[in-house]
Amino acid sequence: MTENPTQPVSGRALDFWLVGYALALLAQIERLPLWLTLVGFAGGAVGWLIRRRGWRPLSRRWLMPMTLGLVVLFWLAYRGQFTVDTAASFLVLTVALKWLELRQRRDLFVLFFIICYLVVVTLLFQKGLIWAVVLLGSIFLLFTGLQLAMAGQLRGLSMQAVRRSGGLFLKMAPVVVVLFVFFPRMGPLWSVPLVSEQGVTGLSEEMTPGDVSNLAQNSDRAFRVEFGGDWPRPGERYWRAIVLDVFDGRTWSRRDRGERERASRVIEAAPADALADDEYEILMEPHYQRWGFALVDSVPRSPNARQDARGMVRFERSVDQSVRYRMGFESERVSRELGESGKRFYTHLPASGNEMTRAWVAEQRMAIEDDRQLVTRFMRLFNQEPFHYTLRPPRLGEDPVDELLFDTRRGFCEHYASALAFMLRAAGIPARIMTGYLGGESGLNDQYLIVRQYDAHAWVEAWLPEFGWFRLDPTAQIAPDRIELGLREAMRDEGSFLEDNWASPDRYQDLALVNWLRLRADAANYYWQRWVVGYEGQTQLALLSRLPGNIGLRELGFITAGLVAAFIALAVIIGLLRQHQQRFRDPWHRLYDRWCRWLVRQDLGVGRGDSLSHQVAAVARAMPEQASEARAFKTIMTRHFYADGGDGVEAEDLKRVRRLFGQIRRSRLRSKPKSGERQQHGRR
Amino acid sequence: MISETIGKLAQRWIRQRIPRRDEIELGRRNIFVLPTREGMLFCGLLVICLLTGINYQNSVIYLFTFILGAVFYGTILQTFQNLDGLRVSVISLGQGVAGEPLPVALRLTAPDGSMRPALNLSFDEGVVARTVVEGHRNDAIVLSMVPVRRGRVVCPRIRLETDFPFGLIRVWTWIRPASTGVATPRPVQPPAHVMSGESEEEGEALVRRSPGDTDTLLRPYRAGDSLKRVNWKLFARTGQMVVSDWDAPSGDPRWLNWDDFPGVDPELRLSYLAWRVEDCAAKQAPWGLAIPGVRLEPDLGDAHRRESLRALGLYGESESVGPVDDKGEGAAAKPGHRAGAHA
Repeated sequence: MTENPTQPVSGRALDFWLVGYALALLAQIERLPLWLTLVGFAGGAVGWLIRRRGWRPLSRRWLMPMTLGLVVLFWLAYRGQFTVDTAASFLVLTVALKWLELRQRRDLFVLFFIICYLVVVTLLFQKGLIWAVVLLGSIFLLFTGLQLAMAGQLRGLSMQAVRRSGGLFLKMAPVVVVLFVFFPRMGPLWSVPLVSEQGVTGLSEEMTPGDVSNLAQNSDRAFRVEFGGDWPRPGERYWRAIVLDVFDGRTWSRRDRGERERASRVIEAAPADALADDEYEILMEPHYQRWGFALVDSVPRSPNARQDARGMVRFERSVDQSVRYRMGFESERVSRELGESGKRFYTHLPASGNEMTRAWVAEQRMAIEDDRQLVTRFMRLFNQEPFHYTLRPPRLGEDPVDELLFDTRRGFCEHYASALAFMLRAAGIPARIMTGYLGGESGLNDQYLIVRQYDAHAWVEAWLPEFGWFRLDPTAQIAPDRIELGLREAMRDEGSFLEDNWASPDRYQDLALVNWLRLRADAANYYWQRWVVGYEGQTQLALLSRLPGNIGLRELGFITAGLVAAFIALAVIIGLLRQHQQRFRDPWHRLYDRWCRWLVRQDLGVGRGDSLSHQVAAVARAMPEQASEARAFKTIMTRHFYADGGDGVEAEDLKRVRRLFGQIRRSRLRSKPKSGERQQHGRR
Repeated sequence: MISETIGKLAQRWIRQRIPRRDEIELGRRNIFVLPTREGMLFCGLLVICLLTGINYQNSVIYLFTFILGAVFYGTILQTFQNLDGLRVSVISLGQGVAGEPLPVALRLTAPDGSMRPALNLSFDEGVVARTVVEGHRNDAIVLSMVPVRRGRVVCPRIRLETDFPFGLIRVWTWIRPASTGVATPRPVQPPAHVMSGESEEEGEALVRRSPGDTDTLLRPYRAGDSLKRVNWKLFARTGQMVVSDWDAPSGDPRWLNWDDFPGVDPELRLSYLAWRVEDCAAKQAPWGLAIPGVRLEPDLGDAHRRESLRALGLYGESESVGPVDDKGEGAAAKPGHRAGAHA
């Protein structure tokens, strides 16, 4: 710990820290703007070179303007964004700059602390199993490095340091597990949003058929579902998410978009007790929006999700972390009535455009009076005419519906849904576009259903007085495989499944090994998310309610404190036992050992190293009144250890010698020990 | 005021807890553990991490907070083990000139043969000496302190501490050696006129000696004794011829006498004598030393020199190693021992 600024004592520490820091940066690389990532890495590298390779340290003259410049740059880049994302990015900048200024022991500690916190903050954005392991490794490297920073000039310590911190981490694992399981989880406090922009692809709030679609090429997970009872048939797995009800001739969009969001608490997880037969549970990846996913005719069963007036699942706050919520099958508590204004709204179309379609619809309307039959007629159109389901549709122009229906006849769900909704509205039947996901893939051992971005789908809901809103999916008429077997099978001939996404393992599902690994990795991640990442208040209480007794937050607090105390006590007991092991089995040896320790405590100037005669002489000097007892003690001890005493007298002797020792001790207690000590002190 | 009282109480408590001793086995009884400033900051970091975890309902952050906390907790034990079971022996407190470093030799052994890295030994006050002990080893570690005054040196407590491995927890103990050292007078070259051995004023010097001076050995007058040595005052009172015997045979140039510097302050006198001892030793001239209470026959060699200087250093203090008075310790340690290390 010698302070020697010229000598890179802490060098090896920085090796470890640099790697740990780089790992934390890597975990954030998706989130950070490129310039900040570069600044982050450069700061670490330059700081390391200065301390490790003897580069000239930056003088304050350079450091100050550089810091200022970077802060201004940061302000420009993040202006007006008040989120955790911003704060975490600023932390990266801080750490990068701190690397450049490592002068004293204090600086090293500051660096250690802020990298530690950086790692912890990274966990806000990366919660997957892999990254958690990587970041744990990063913490490990940080501690190992700290050890080297503290060890001064000791050489050849690196391996030892690794071993030592490794041992420490392992030894402490039980404590960590106990704390994790039992530490009371408090509800969230007020918090600013985590991120400012939607960084993740997913469903969009508008839909323009004819624009290039990219969701179909995306194999990211959208959510996973676990069912309490039987799974619904594949053709029934329509996961509703967004209603698009306004059409401007080209684009469908939401009426209620742009709702202001207030700063609010983070969404709490649902309880974790067993699912009822009619329930299902959705574990949703963050999509930075407020909508959730649900099958038709189901209602939220966990308090974190709610249903809006149109029966859609909504959250209080943007989903910026994975959320688990429960739904139950039950007819929606939504009115089937649609007032006059509602009818007008859901049949509204732009005044002009797509004239051919309008004319055709008017013709059909004339022929068919009944709305239900008219709907059937429309659906038959998609079935009878040679429509083609493709992920490589041609671009559409000014009148997309006309072009699709009468010209190109190629497209995917968005195109057909849009066309059908247009036709229905033109015929005066209330209709809207519903987007969400369709289908999903079984996870490992059919435990759960994985729904991915490429399962995104769009369909139509129409309203008839006798049914209320009901689902119409034109795609089902054109490509039944898409509905029953999923996108992959539907696209088998075309070969366009994930054609742009060569790195996705999902593309290679046909390879048995890839598929095996892929499903296993997903399962590991699922259970990690479910039981570790999602181990929050409700989950904890649900889990612990299986234990006898009524366990609330307060009881949890007691349990945690008790367990930690028990652990400390255990450590002490182990320590004592270890000490005890060093003591002796033989009662004579044990007595002699006690005698020696007593002598040392009495401070008579003799200890274990002195011969028994010396010891006894010292005792006799200090306590003349006990001189004879001390001599007797010596005689018996000597007889035992150095002469072959007859076996018969051994036990007798032991008793006597113990009694003598007791007498001496008691006499010592009675006399004033302090003055005696003084007399004999240090006579050597 | 209050802090002073508390400090005093703490001192007393420590003195009771750790009596002066030359052989110390470290254990739960005499090792102290507290977090360092960095350790406190680390606890702050833990709180912040926990708050982050609570606020964002992030279980993985909880998990990492617990890992950090558990490591911190484990550090307490691990740091403690760096000292636990260590055996400290004070080999000796040497002899040195007042105002110059006095070596304090210690030996640290770990009976279980384990490695004890990064131990620091230091004196409490002033600038500390730092020494890093690489594991246990049997060669002596020599610290040094600077006694300000000549005389018996009571070693101030030595702090043995370590914050290895992480610098978050500090464990320490105090070593309070029972053995004492000797600080010899600082040699001062006597000016020429004081060196004039047998001066006329000697008688007066004798007379001036305080009657309470018990160091003077008196014996009956024998034929051949210098008349100057006769204690005439006593003769006037009692009528007996008594000679002060603290002096060596005068006239023998080999003898360095207490009386050689009549009228000089005793401390200065000791310094003069020390200089003369060094002078004789340097010139390889045999010398004898006669000061009240001590008489060393003329001899040569380093052992003799040390003995002579030691006698000068201990002048006026009882020869036997008396009990080390803890109350006096404060005063002995007060004069600001400057300490340094050459370990």
